[in-house]
Amino acid sequence: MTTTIAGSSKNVSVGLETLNPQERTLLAPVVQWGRGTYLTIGALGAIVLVGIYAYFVQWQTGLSVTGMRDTVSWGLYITNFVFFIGISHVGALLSSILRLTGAQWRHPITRMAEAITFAALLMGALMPIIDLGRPERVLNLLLHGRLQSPILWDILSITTYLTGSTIFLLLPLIPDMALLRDKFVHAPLWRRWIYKFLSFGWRGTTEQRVRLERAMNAMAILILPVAIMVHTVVSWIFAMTLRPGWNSTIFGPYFVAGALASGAASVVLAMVVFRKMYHLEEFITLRHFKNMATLVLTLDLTYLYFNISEYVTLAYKMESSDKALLTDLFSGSFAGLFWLTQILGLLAPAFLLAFSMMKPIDWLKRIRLLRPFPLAATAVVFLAASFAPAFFQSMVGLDLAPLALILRVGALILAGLFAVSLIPVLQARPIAIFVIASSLIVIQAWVKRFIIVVPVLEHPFLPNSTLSEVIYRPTWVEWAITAGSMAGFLLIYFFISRMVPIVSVWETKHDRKVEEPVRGFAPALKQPATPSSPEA
Amino acid sequence: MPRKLTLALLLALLLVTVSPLAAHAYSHTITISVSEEGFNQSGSYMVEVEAGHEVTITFTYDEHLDRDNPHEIQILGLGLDLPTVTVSREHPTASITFTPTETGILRILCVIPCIGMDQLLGGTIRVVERHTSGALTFLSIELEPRGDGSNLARAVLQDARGKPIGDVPILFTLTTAVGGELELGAPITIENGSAVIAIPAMPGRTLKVSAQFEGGGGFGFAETSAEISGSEEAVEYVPTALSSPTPPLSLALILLVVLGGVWAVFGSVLYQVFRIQRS
Repeated sequence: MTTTIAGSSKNVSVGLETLNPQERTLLAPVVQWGRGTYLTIGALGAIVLVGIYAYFVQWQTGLSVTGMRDTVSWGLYITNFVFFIGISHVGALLSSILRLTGAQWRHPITRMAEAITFAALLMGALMPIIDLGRPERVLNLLLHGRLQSPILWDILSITTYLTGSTIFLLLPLIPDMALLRDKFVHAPLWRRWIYKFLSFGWRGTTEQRVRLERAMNAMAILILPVAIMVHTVVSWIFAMTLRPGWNSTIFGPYFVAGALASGAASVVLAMVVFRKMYHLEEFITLRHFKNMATLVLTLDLTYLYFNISEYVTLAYKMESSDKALLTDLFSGSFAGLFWLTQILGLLAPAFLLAFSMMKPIDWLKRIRLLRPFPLAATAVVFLAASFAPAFFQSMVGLDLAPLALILRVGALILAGLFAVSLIPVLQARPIAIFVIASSLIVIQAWVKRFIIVVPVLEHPFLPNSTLSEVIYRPTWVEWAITAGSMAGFLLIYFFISRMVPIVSVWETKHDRKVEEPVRGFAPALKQPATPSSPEA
Repeated sequence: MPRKLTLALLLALLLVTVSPLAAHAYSHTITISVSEEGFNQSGSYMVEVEAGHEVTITFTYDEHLDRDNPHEIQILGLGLDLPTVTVSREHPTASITFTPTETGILRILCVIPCIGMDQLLGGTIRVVERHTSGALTFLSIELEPRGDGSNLARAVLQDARGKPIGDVPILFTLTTAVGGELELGAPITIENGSAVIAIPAMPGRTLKVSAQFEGGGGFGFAETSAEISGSEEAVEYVPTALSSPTPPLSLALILLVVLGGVWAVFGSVLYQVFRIQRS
């Protein structure tokens, strides 16, 4: 009963002899919990504990330990809430759309996306409760809630989405749970119990397959509108008010687009990490990355379009109520974060992804002058030199302003050439570029939520809104809880990847049998089922 | 002696001539009043001054609690670095003098975090642009009640000879119940120097409406205000679907159908899982 798990030299006693090497590779992270697993769980768990301690302090002392006050009453917690709900959309998008359109390439990544949804929703749903000074009063929403309130709609829709995405995660797990139940016979008792319970007596009979297909098709159709509904309702919490910056008619699609972009980018990051960590190179190929990168690029550009539409229409009119907020965003205390999100978080990833996916431009490599580092260095020298005339002007007694202008134009041209010279470099390392672009988009997503929540509250538009200089500074308690929630999300996600194969075994196995793409998620119906084999 | 008298008269004349050009100093007294329930927040904590003039804010201690409850008070904002002053039973008065150069809001804070109310004090000093100087102008305002409970504010701007000044904006503001100022709008004066704005009905409230001419075109700043008691008749309020105390049936039905439909599908999916287990 000793089997060598692919991707590892360590022998473990598991009942996986009947599986092929690919299946063993996929199951290796589940059956082998090495020191790294416990260390990762320990490290993430420690951060979660710090977050729990910070919450304990807040619970005992009240919200006065946070930076929130009467004017800025939403801060990091609501930022985290919108962020987590946002990235949770990816499970619905990828699984639902790709399942319904029969895109076979989806199989290695759908579970990753569905698990992101589940973990992000668990953390996201916690955030509004943490935001309450008296958490037990959350029950008042159910006991005395007003049906007209977007807050109540939010509670209802998030509960619905969490239930739906849990079902959506568990349904395609059933055959793999059965596989683990039957093959991983030396698993600890508690894990065996989980596998047995969540496999729901699966034996792979035709009737079971038909029922599973029916259930999954129903969920695939339903989960997408539910996901869109949830994030639209989240946006309505803001947009149903008359506050400048929130009082917008496009907040629903604006939030949904941002959510999908950040969610898809987080899947790319998960693909890279799991591919490396679990030796999944055979399953997650460059094709998957390119398909995902196309999706991320499309969503990123869509979100960029919504950003332009939202801010340009407001800035063009510059209504008095919007003016203070927009000035603060464009050139005030939030200008740095605002422009970073727009340029570094949205525009730069779009360029990176577009260039990395373009057809290789070989002739660019032959131009000797187009070398990135010399060009960058020369551009910097030109820029630095453009400030020199201002110093020497008084000494030489001449108007040197045209020279400074020429130097700056030169620096700009060199910067442009530098960008062009990067194209072959980007194309040579596509996956690294996808990682950089996706990381920028995910970071942008969090910062953008902060910018949506906090500056608006710092600029109240009320008759007695003379407190315009209110500044929100998050305290260590809020940062610790935020870090704890991020670690909690990663911990849940990592735990799922160690409990069940993060790439669907039965669907991947089927992919390798069927040459032609078939519409629907369970094309195996075309083949006779083998009752004895759970994944047949 | 006549020479000295002449000199004294000349000096006096010079002082009278020069003094309007010099920046005048503001002096405001703010009484910090605290009871067992916390700070007594009122409009008196809000002060408006002009940029470029010296301002002295005096804080006085007016508390009748069992124990002494000293306050450390600081004025923050606009890049000013002002000292913190303390008022207590022993030192009941303290002043801060400064000259703001920028317009904006200064906040008066009690820096001792007494029951976490540092931001609830809400005292502010609004620093506004220096009023434009120029030829003397007269601004009058009248508030006329209308049949529907609302009021009409009519301001008339004239020069020193009583000639109407047209084509200039008059800013109307309403003092709100919470002590702030709500800008109603800035209509342009017509040929007879009048500008009119409607004020919504506010039953049972005394309305204080101010009109302000910023100055310009050779004319100086002018400001005036008037009060009127609102009609006692309650205005019929028709709540909208989203603000009514009870949810409209249509909304409840929509929620029921949408959520009920989604949960019904969940139920059918779970039924399929149940059947998988049983098969």
